[in-house]
Parts: sequence; C-alpha cells; structure tokens
Amino acid sequence: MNTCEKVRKQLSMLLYGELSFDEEETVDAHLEGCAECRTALERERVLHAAFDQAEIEAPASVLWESRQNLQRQIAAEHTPIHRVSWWDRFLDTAWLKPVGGLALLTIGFMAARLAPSLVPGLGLGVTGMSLMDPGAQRVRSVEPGPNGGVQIVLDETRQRTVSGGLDDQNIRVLLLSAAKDPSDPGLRYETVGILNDRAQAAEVRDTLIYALEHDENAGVRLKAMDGLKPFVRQPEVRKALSGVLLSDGNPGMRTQAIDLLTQGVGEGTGNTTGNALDRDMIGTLQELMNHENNAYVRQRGERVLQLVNASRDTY
Amino acid sequence: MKLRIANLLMATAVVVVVQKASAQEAPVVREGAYWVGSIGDSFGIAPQARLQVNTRGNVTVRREAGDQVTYRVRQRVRAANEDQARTLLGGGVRQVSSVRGRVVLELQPISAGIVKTDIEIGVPTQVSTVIIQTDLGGIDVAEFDGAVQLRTGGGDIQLGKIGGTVQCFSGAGEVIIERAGGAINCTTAGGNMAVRDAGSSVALSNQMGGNIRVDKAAGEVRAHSAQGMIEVGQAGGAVFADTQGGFIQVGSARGVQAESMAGTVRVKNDEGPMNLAAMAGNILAELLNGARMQDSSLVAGTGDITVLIPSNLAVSVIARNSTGGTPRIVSDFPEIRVTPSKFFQAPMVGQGSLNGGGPVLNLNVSSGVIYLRRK
Repeated sequence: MNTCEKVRKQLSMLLYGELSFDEEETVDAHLEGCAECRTALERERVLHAAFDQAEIEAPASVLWESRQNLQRQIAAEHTPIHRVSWWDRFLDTAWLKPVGGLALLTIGFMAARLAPSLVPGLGLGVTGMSLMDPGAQRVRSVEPGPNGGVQIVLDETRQRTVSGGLDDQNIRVLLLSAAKDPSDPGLRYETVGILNDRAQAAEVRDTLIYALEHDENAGVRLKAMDGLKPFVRQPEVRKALSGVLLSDGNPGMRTQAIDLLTQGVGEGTGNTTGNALDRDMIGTLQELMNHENNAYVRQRGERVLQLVNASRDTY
Repeated sequence: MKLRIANLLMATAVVVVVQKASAQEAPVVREGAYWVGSIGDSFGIAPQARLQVNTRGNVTVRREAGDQVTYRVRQRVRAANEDQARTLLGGGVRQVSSVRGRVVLELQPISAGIVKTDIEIGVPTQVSTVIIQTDLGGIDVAEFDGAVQLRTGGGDIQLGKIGGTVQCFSGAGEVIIERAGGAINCTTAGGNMAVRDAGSSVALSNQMGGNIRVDKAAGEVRAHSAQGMIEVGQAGGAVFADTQGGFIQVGSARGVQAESMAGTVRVKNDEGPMNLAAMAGNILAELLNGARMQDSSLVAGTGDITVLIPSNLAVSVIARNSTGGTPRIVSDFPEIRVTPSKFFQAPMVGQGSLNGGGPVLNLNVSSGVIYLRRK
C-alpha cells in the first residue's frame, strides 16, 4: 500500500477528529505535497456535509443496543479459548436457534393459559379478567417496571351509564348518534321514540327525517313518521313524506304518507277546498299514479288530484 | 225444514224491500264546495243471525237498539252542478239477501273513483257476527258484542270493544284493537298493529313490516313481523314471536319462543320452556321467582346472553361460549364451574346445578359474553 492510498483511508477519520496526534501530523505533511490527496480530502468534506444535512434522529434504543453489543463483544474477547465439544457444535447449528425460540414462545403461551386455572385468583388471564372487571380487556403493551415489576397497558371497553335530560346537549348528541346506529334496529326504534317528543328542535327533526328516508327497518320508519306528524306542514317533512310515497316498499308506509300529505285537503267550507296543494305535491301525486299498485293509495291520490282540479296524467 | 222455509221467506221479503228502495232517486244536496248524496234504509234480522256487508269505501259499524239493521251511504264529490254531481255519484247496487242464517247486504256504489264514500251500519245486539268486506277504505267498529270478520283492500282497521272473536285483514294499514273477548287473528300487509286487551289468544301477522304491540292477552300470543319491533306486555299463555329485524320484548309469559334476526330479545318467563334466538343482538332473560320452567335454549349469534336467576330456583345450567380469542362466561354462582377452552379448542364451557338442579338451561354464544346473574 503506497502512502497516498494509506492517507486516503484515513481522511474520513481525520474529518471526524478520530486520528491520534502523530497520525494527524503524518497526514497533514503528506497533504501539503500531494495535490491529488488534497482533492480527495475536499471530496470527502463535501460528502460529509451532505451526510450532515440528511441527519436522522436515531431512536433512543440504538444507544442501549449498541452498548449491549459492545459488552457482548468485550466479554467474548475475554473468554478463554477452549476446545469445542460436540454439544457446543450442536448448539451452534443454524436451525436450532429459531426452533428454540418457538419452543420458548409455546411454553410461555401455555403457561399463561394454564396459570389462572392452576392458581385461582392470580388476576391474570380469562378468569382473572372476569373477576376483576366485566369490561372487555386486551393487553396493548408490556414493559419492565422498577423493582422487578411490570407495567401492562390495557385496552378496555367499559360500559358507562350516562343520565340527563333531553335538553342536555351531551345526551342529545348521544341520542342522535344512537338513532343512526346500523347494528341494532331496536336501539334505533327506542331512540326515535324518545326523540319524537323533541321533534320541534330542528336537529332532532332532521334525524327523524333521516330515519324516515333511510332506515332499513320499517318499524323504525313508522316510528319516525309518528314523530313527524305534527310537522307535516314543514317543507322538509313534506319532501321526505313525498319520497316515502313514491319509493317506500312498504304499503303501510305509503298509506300513512298519503294520509298525512293530503290531510285537510278538501275539508274547507264554502267554495274553497281547504288546504291547497303546491305544484310539487301535485307532481308527486301524478307520478304516483304512474306506478302505484296499491289500490287504496291510488284511490286517495286520484281523489286528491280531482279535488285540486289536476289531471291524473303527466306528459 | 221450518227454519229453512223461514229463512227463504225472509230473504225474499228483504229483496222486495230493497228493490223498492233502489228505485227511488237519491237526493243530492250542496254542502259547501261539494255535492253530497246519501241513501239509507233498514231491515229486520233474525236473532243470532250473521250480517255480511260487501261494499267499497270507509265503513263504520255502531251498535243499534231494537231488531233492525240500519245503513246509510254518504257520498261526496266536487262538481260544477247537480247534474254533473249525479253523473259522478252514479248510483249503485243495494241488495239484501239471506242464506242459511247469513244476511248479506250488498252496497256497491257505481261511482267515479274520485267520489268519497262513507258507509255507516247500525247493528242490533242480537246479531251474532258482523262480516265486513270493503274493497278500499278503513273499517271502524266502536262497540259490538259479537264476533267480527273484517277485510279491506287498504285502510286502517280500528276496533273498540268487541265481545267475541276478531278476524281481520288489511291490504295496507294499521290494525288497532282496544279490547276483544274472543280470539284475535289479524294480518296486515304493512303498518303497525296493537292490541290493548285480549280475552283469549292473539295472532298478529305483519307481512311487509311494522311494529306489533300486545299489552295484555289471556291466552297465547303469536306475532310475526317481516320488519319491526314486537312487544308483548303480559301473556296468559305462551308467546311465539319472530321478526326479521327489531327487538322482541316479553313482559311475562308461560313459555316463550322468540327469534330475531337483528335485535335484542328481552324476556321474563313465568313457566314453560324458553327458546330464544338472536342472530345479531343480545338476549336478556329473567326467570321469575317461583317460576316453573322447563328445558330451555338460548342462542345468540353475535351478542351477549344475560340470564337473571332467582337464588332459590332449581335449574341446571350448561353454557357454551364459542367466541374466538378469549371467550368469557361470567357467573355469580360458584356452583357453576367454568372450564377454560383448551388450546385451540373452543368453546369455553360452564356448567353446574343450582339448588340441586332441575330443568336444563342451555346457553350458546358464538361471539359474545355469557352472564349468569343472581337476582
């Protein structure tokens, strides 16, 4: 290895400041008389600068792991050399380590499952959880704690009772959420039943309209319609009922919808026909005539159209 | 033989009267924006006879003193003048006939569909059964001592106090029954159904969806809803309930069989077997003090089973929880031994005998928790 080659191998350590005084003197002396090595030093500086800009935050564990590795290395260097026995060779075989790891895992798993039944009240495992708390639990993480203890982080799902009046905003938010719970029609039905008493509030009415239009369960839709009856004059309620009349598959829903939408029509005195229908409602009834197969609903629609002097047909 | 001759004579006599009535021209009068035509008449009817009315429109039945059946048909239409109104009203067919103790009143308006028709029938107490068949329209019977059989193509059925049995069908609409002395058997294509007080058994069927509620029934209750909630307050017999979507709630019964595809099943049982199934929902069963229960089965697909058991009830419990991961059986009873599921082998099993054991209470959960609680 010539001098230039030897110096260029030390350039990186020079920049890190890791060379001894004598080594640094030797490298500097060579650099004064060698233009190629000075150029190489400049390239090394540029490279280091680039690495510095791309600096990453090393995890704290790296230091701990590095120290552990270092201690193992030091211990290995101090271990006296001895003759390798057949048992050591067996232990050094490549396949044994993963198999051993798997075995340890299995033993640990079995111990965790059997321990609660062998030691009642241990407070771990299935039995322990049922004794401690009916809420569902799941171990998120385990860490060694001080004095040989452990710290276990649990995910828990606990039931909690919340009570309050319907005017309580928190209660109302929960109810509005429950009214749309897709998993339990019974919950939606009972929630809608409670909300029906507060349908004068716009947000509650919106929830009832949502249930009327979108709930997959006819029982819930019928319940929502009950709550909206006093507000049948509201444009948004009429629009929702029109949608029910035209598209709900349940004839009982359509029967109630047309009864509500046309109630009061033709009940006037004198030469009036009472509550008149708007153009949209007339259009809805005309559209209804095109496809309604329930005779009662058809008859109601036909009669109302005649009362407001509208034709049955659309063109 | 004498009876048949008497019936024949009565039928002949009635038809003659009706033909005479139909020859009269019905008066049409102006009421506000409408022209209104109404007709009415009455005829005698033998004790314990059955009265059948075939018509079209809304029908109201009321109790009438004496031995005469009265009827009144009131039709209303908007028209430019009386002549146009008469054309729209169009008259109709009225006929009374009698066959083997059944007197049939035909009231068939031949009028335009836009005509609103209301029929009121006055029925004397001596009539045993009223049968109403209307093509379209609601049926309202406020009070009647005998039995009723009602059918409408579409419209609500509302019954007040009915002394006998009730059979009814609506093509679409609600069925509301306040009180019936006899058995109730009703069906609607869609709409809510409610029975407040039944002196015998109740069978309600909702073909396309709607909620069913029975507050009190002396006999067994059968309730079927395609989609909707089923609530039975108190049943003197067993309750059989099923719904494709919605909860089932039984306040007390002598045996319960309930199936809900999606929704909670809540049951209090006095005696008899319980067979409860909830595919997606919880089951809450409460065994009452002194209950004389029989072998029972509670099955939950996705949901918990909670059973409330009185301390003094003798029962044997077998609970299986097949939930993956960590199945749970939570018991207040030390007599019930819970065996954790073996390695990779579900289910977890809990079993034991309370107070010496008795009828078997079989609990199965596929994904959920089993709770055995002491009352």
